[in-house]
Amino acid sequence: MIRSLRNRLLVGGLATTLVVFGAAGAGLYALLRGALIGEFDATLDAQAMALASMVERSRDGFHFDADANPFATADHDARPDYFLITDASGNPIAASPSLRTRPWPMNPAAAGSARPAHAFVEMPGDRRGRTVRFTFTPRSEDDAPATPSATAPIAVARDATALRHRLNHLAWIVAGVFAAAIALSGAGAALVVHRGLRPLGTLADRIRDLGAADLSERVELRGAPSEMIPIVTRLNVLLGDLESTLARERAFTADVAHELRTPLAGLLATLQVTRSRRREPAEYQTALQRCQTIAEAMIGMVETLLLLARADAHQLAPQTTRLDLAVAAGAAWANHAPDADARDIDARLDLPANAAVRTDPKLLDLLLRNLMDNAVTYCDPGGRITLVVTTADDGARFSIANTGSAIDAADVPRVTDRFWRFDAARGAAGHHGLGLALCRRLADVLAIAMTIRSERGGQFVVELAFARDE
Amino acid sequence: MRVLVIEDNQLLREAVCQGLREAGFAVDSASDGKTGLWHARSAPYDVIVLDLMLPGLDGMSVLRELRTAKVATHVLILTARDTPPDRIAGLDAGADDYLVKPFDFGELLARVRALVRREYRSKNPSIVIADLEIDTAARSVRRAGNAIPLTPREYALLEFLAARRGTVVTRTDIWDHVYELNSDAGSNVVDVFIGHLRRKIDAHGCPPLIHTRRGHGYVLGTEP
Repeated sequence: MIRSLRNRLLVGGLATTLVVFGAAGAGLYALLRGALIGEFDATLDAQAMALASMVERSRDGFHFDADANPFATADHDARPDYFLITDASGNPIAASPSLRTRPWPMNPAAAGSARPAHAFVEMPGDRRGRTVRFTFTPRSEDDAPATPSATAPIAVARDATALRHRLNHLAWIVAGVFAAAIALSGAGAALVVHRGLRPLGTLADRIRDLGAADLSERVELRGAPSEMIPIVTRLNVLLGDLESTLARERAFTADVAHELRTPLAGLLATLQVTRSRRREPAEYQTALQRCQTIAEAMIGMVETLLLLARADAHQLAPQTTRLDLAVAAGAAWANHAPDADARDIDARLDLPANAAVRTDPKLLDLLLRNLMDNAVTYCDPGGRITLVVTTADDGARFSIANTGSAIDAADVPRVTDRFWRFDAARGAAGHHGLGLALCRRLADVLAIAMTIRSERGGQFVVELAFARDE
Repeated sequence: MRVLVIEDNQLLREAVCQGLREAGFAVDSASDGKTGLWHARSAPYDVIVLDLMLPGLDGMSVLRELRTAKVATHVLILTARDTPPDRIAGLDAGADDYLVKPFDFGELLARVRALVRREYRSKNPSIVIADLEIDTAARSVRRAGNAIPLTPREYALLEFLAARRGTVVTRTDIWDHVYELNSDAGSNVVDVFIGHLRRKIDAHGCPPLIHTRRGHGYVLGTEP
């Protein structure tokens, strides 16, 4: 198996050229040879017919009119070298003068047919010649009956050395011309393959030159062979995907760095500024309270990040059990009700009992509490939060809505991105833009369909659809 | 010397502002890029401490807008972004210094002081006028070899006058560079502080160094 495309094309092209040109050369030679021999034979036939016409038949036998021999005075090229005419029994009627001294190597009677038969023969004097043999009925002077014994075989031979030389010459010319054609075609094919594969080589160079560090580069499509365009396009799409994945990864790392370093900087600055001089006890109290707030917020964020990392690593194994969604929602809300009251939020709960679902109670509680925390944080002061549990044939649903949202509908798909926060809320204590990201992952882990929408009038709604508990 | 702190993390911002104030700087603060930019364009600050990841308008945009608007105030970027490309981008956008969070507060103060010195084209942290010596690093003042204790506000006023020694400094200049936006000081507070400073600097029979240019302002230096 040839691995190189170039060599494979070259070998294939050359083999095809060899077969096609070889066959064409052989065919051409055969045609020309046939034509030349046919021409030679036609002359031979004409000479034989002329000789045959000189034999006359009468009741007492055959007569050869030697005086009428048209070849007697003809020059050497135009006359047959040998001829022999016999009667049906093989007795000679006439023979060429050259046969008087040399024996005739073949018997004309062997022809036995009126159709001329041609063949190359060895002629006396180690020469190659060509003969024609046929049987004819000589014309009769006295209307003698044309019995089978009234026929006479004739054999005529001519020296074919010149013909053979021409044939050899022709063979060499055809072979030479076609060998040259094959060689030229091979060189042409090599050039075409080389030039044809050059764009492929250029493309390979471009791909090889892609920097591993800089993923913003793309393989240029200009000049690429059309067969390679789907591959190059796909490669570019993959590079784009890789680039955006890595960019997200970098952004996430930068976000984590920012979200961890900023509170650490706050902690350090608070401690260093506080320690820089003697202070009143109340000032120390304030500073310690601030440090505690920062530490608690960092703990919350680190816990959330760890949960997200575990969810990403498929380490959160849900322990499902049958529970009442309304009860779970009511219990989770109890943790947030005081905060909602403090912000003068009107909480409306519609939690009818017996909404049975099968899920992990701890992870569900975490999910519900994060949703509620989000709603309480981003609800406008004096606004409204609505919690509703419904049951239907296709399963139970939980929805939580808060007023006061300024999130654009176009931003809704981003709210579950890690560290995405609506601008105005950025920097809110204890909120790192991870809450809804965690909710999304938890919903995925629990196989709950979570939908988010931002409605007109600043209503932000998150809905959880649970599969029916069989 | 007046400093603007633009930082969205409330507790960090408060700690930085408190530390700078206690070091004698007049400090204003903003929690988002747009407010910060408004402050920076509306008052003559000596140094701006700028976070990069800000809501509304990010720190790099604030910096670029300032430089486009020909505001030449020294800017110290205070950010969690620590990669060399981030630092390069920040400095190339027109920042004068770059400090990565978390940071040592003493280092932040020293860098802010260095930027202030640069503002007044002085690399020497100590200023000597006749027999008055001001060590801007240690924030200590001596006259004829005797240490003079000053409050941070008095020290800030003296340092500002010393940075512009020999030239008349108007009350507005002093107000702009030594007092904060939301300061409740009255219009004659500059005169009151100058009075306090005089009593401490020009006491003990030393020749006066703080001179009043009636209708103009004050000059720090030997008698012209």
